[in-house]
Amino acid sequence: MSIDWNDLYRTTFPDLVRFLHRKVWDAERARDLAQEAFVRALAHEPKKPRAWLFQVAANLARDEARTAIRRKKHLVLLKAEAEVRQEATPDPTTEMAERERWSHVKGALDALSENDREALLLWDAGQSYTEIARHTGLAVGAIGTTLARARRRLADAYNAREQDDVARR
Amino acid sequence: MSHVDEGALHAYLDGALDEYPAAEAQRVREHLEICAACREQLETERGIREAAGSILALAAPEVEVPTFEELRAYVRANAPKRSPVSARLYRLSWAASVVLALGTGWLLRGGQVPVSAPSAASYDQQRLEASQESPATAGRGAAESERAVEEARAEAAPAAGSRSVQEAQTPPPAASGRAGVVTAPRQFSDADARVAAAAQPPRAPAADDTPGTQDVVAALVVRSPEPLAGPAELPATASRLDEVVTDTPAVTRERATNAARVADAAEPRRRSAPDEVVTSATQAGAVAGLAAQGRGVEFGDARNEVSDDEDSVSLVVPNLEVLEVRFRGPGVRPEGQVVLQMLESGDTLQVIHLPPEIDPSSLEELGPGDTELVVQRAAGWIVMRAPLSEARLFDLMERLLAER
Repeated sequence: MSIDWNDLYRTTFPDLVRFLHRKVWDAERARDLAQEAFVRALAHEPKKPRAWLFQVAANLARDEARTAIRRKKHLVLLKAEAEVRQEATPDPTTEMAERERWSHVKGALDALSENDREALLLWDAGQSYTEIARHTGLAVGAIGTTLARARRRLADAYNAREQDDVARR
Repeated sequence: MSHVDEGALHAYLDGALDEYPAAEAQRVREHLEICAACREQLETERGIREAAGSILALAAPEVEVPTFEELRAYVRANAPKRSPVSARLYRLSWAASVVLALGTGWLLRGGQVPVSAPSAASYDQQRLEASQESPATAGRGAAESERAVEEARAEAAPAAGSRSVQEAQTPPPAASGRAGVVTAPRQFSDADARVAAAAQPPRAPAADDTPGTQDVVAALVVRSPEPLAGPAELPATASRLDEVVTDTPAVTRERATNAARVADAAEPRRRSAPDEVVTSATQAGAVAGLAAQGRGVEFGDARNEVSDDEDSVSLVVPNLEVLEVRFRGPGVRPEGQVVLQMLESGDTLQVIHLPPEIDPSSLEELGPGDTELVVQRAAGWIVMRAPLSEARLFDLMERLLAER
């Protein structure tokens, strides 16, 4: 069966960026890595492209600091967008609030075990239980339990950080 | 009938029950219809699920999606102009040529990078301190264990410096060939990386050694995230790699042996036996330290012999796409070469070639989950790094060595 890459790209790219963003915590970097994953997928044409893309994306996020991605960091197709972004002046207050928010979410995610975090991020990026199971090596029947635990711990850790924040102020 | 567990409740909420076995999915649905307690629990779990979703949504980046046509255009612009198979071969041959040329270039310079060399006495002192510290390390937490690995790593650096001194003082042997290997765990604690170091014992001249083929597999160093069960006793003497590696985990042993066989096959020569093998090395670099004391371990002895050889190094594993070939180190004088190749999984394989005088432990830290395999050859060190099992890394090393 031939793959509708256009459709796959349209439906998967934002999910992939969201998934990567929670790993590298840099929106532009997450997008670069997502594009790199797609570039590789187009070259390889894997049989299960969506699962393959997430697997590659996870790998890229893991070794992004030392891979060849660096040389491809500025893809030609991003140039125009980068220029547009430079023109916009970010509001310092908004930026600070966003950074703080991200920091809390990151801290809460860091409180999870690696497997729990991976399963949660993959679910949030639209992966099915079967795909998450394949990616993490867990049984499909264990994904629900993993997600239940991950969600509870994430909420608890986030709330604890919020309360700490309030207490400090 | 037993209640529905929280995992199944989340699967229900996620609309993933269909991915469960049909009978189990049906049981969950039916139970929720008749059990008020489980329905109540379902609402609690729904709240947790929504809370987690909201938290994650706080960190959702705004994504501008480039059009697919733009992506396609980029791929086309950067794609090779040949058919897929020939293009790959072309890329590989191109990369191999570059590596060959570059490798020959810096090898012919004779490897003159200066290395500071601490005395054998200071090295002994470091080893003594490390060995005194080891028992306490066993009960440490992960962070301290990491520090212990760092210390062991730092220790390996001066050892390599010592090696250079030894090389400078010891005339090159008349012949070369891998004659034996000692494996040596570096520092073991609960969560430590694994390090097995190996050294090449002195070799007797062999009449049939071919001049100019001083490619010696003299050392194997393996580091991986999985801890070893415990330090292994090293054999007192060994003349075959097979014997020497018996104390490493089975898969490592098998692969190391295979790697040696491949190396042998690629470079047939008579092995001198029996060989004297240093046996007391317990940490990476210790064998090099002993070498500095003149106890018969030779490292990189062919450094002075490579000027007239074809001993350039191919760093390209066959049938893997080459992503990048570059020199390592700042300035005009390279400190080695790096080839990045893409594995089928999309992971990146790093193959680094360092001159003999550059200590492999000076490389940047291993990435999380990465395994490292270091092989010492006459022309320097080959370091392989990838997030793979040892067995897979050995496979790749075999393929690389066989390709020579």
